[in-house]
Amino acid sequence: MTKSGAASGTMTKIRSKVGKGRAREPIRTGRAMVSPDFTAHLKGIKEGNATGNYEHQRGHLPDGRSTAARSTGIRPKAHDAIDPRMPNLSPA
Amino acid sequence: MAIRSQKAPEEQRTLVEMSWDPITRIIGNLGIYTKIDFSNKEVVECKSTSSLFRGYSVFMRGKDPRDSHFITSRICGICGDNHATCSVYAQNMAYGIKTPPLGEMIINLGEAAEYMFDHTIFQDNLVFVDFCEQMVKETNPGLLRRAETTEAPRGHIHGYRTIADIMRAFNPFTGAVYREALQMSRLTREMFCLMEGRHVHPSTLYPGGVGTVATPQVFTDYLVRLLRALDFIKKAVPMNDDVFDFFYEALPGYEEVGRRRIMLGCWGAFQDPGVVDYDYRTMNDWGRAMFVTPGIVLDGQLLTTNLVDINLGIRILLGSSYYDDWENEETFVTHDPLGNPVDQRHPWNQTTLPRPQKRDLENGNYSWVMSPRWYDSRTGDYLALDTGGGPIARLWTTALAGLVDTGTVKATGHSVIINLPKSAQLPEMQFEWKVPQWSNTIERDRARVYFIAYAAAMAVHFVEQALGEVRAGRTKVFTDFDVPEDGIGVGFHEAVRGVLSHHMVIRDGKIANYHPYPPTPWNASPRDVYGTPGPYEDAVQGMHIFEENGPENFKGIDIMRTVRSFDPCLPCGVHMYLGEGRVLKQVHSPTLGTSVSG
Repeated sequence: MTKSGAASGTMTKIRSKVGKGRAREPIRTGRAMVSPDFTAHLKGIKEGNATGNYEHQRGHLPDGRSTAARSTGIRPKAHDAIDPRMPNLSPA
Repeated sequence: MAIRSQKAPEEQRTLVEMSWDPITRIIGNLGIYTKIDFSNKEVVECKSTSSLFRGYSVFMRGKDPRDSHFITSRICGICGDNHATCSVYAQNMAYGIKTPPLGEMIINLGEAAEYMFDHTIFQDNLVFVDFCEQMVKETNPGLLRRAETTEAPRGHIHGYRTIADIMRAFNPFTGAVYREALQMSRLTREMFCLMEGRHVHPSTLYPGGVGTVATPQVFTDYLVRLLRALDFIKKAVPMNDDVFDFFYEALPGYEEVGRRRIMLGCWGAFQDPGVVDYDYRTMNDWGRAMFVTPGIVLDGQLLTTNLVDINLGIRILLGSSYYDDWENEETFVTHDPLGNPVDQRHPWNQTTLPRPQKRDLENGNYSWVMSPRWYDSRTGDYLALDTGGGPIARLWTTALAGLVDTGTVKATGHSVIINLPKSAQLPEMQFEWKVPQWSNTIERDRARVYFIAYAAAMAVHFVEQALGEVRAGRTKVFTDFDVPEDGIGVGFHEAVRGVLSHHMVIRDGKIANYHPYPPTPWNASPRDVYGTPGPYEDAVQGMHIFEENGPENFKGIDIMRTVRSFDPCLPCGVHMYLGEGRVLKQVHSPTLGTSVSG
């Protein structure tokens, strides 16, 4: 109750600025948990760049080549090269 | 332009103080303050100042190192991708990783497009305003009369009969070259975006590789645009030669304008994926394998091509800058990975301590720019190296080193031969940039157009290599990595207008120290603690004035040509102070068409 009371107080203030007509809702934001220059990464959280991710992702072969599974999960084999001697150029 | 005080006697000469602050067509924070002897037509003294503090080295501390290429890209609004690339190189070293070959090719292709874009827009839309018919009419009417009757020797290639016809084509907004260059800059930016996702702050460039999906389509799209650009470049090179040769011929002694001792630095560009491993200990090897050879040229001699020597010789001096000394601050790196001692004045050990104060041009501090110098251990000199706007230094070091040979480009030891393949309008053509006699205004400008051709020829090579990788099915463009708790890294690259280095120290997984050194701090540096003037000051000081106007309607065209030959950064509005409290504002609106009134 206390919180909503504070919010309505703010709204009244803004309403008075806007004047007659439609009252604009204030943008309600959460409390900032970090300072603006806080580092982008917290230890322990999964990182996209972490070693092992290349192997875990589908379609990336260990020798640097790739298959269509890199690009699509829908019947990827149908998009692979017809002849295994051909380069496997997966769609973008 | 300001005439601050009339006729101050000094050394029994009548000197007039004149200043341009901010200088136009440059991001609005560079000022040039001169004392001119009009009776002898000579600039007696010059000081270059900057009134803008950026502070990247201050606020980078404590950040995640993986953010550094995204943040430092914002240093510049025109060559931000050079910063991103350089930061990626520094991060690769710190993380101990290398980009897969195809990823490296994609970065090289993006950077080649950036050189083509940026040099074209600067040369044709900004530098040539100083050489256009309107400007020459106002500053050297006699020269324009002669240009009207002088046949352009290479007119059969570029299509302009006389030199004055070329000058008319340079006129802003109305001239054909001016307008075509704008179209070209769009085309070359499209090429860039195909490779690095977005211009000018790349969205697909990361440490360890790129996010660009390498398909035959993306390289074909690039190649189509490249071939269109080739037609423009093949005409631009002979046209530039005609104009610059004419200036030498029509104004005897013009080679002295902007001339300074040959002290050029180039930190190398375009990594060779077959050699580079981003290990500091092998930096000499992969540095020399770069497709633009790093090096330092002193008095026409190649001093070194070793990036380790280049790195260890960098010193950041104070003397006329608004900073406190960091001599007693923390030393982050005492020795490099090869065991060589690292100086306290080296960027790895720099601590930025800004101290804002009033500008004192006479006996005190007058600039936010520090004074980067290169320590020559043979002589003990602190060399005020310049980049000459980038291309002249790149071509000079590459030519003398004689290491680059891709078929499309060959360094001969005294020149660089550039081969451009057949394009829609013009047949296969070959250009040769020969090491010039002087490091002066005209040669800096001439080298720029040759480097556009160089970048295009290298792009042809890279696109063939990249397509070869794709056709072999080797589509890997990134490598994964872990951020170390502690590490150091350095990236060496060429921003469009010259040397670029990023020095990084990581502690506890965060940035402990980060110092980017782009070309303009080298070129625009003020007098250092030893009294050595910076390159702009040095090039303008002692210069002969060829402008026909007297002090009352002096434009300072020779001084402006000289400062702009160094390719200081982005264009801006004009803001000239004419004395007696009258401020003239002239705004260059980048609107299309010429019929805009009001």
